[in-house]
Amino acid sequence: MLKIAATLENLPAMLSAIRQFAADHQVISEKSDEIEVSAEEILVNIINYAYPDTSGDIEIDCQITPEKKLIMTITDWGVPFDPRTLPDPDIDLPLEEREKGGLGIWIVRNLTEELDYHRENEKNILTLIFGLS
Amino acid sequence: MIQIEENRKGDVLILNLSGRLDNPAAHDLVKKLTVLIESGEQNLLLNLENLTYISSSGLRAFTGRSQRMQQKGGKLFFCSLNRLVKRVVVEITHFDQVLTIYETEEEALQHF
Repeated sequence: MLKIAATLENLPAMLSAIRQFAADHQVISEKSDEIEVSAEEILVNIINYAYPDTSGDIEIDCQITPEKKLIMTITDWGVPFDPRTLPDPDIDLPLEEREKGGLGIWIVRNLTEELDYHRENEKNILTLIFGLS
Repeated sequence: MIQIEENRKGDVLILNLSGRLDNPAAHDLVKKLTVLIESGEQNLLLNLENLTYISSSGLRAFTGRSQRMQQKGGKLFFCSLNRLVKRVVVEITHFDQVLTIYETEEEALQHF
């Protein structure tokens, strides 16, 4: 669907492509927003951390299954990182006691049905699954 | 992309946010709020009725500026969260425990 340099300047283009895919497949706007928020959290993490010493790309692919799931695959060629290993934030602590980090992935976990990761041929491959029905 | 419309009621400056508070917009909002807070605004209300989208960048913008306003002895409140914003801010992240949020603008204005 889209392969593009992993920069913050390209973030709007990435989100626009996802939004367009959702619109093209008649995904209701409320669900489309949830999908986009989840994607943004992942994409910003990749942009900020995947390529510490070089530049690199992000590849985004979406498909709709017959079971009415939207499967989004986000691939980068950066440092190995499984976001599922981040500890869940303690959301009942006062702000000053909360650990920094992990909030974006926590939001993704709560907006997706499933979040999968694997490393293959020097690529981080993250799969986000959203129910549409 | 986010639009910010200013409206003053008495001592309170109301910022009506509309659109999407994604990562780039969050940076813009922080700049806007910082200018207001540092120039002496003591009573700020962010009306989120027309804000349809928020990511963790937006959440951090809210909490960071709320803390700064507290340090300056002022009040920064929020009102009128809609469905997705309420889901992210309240249900998923419990940031209603760290931000001061009201259901309506009228209710919020009574607490300044």
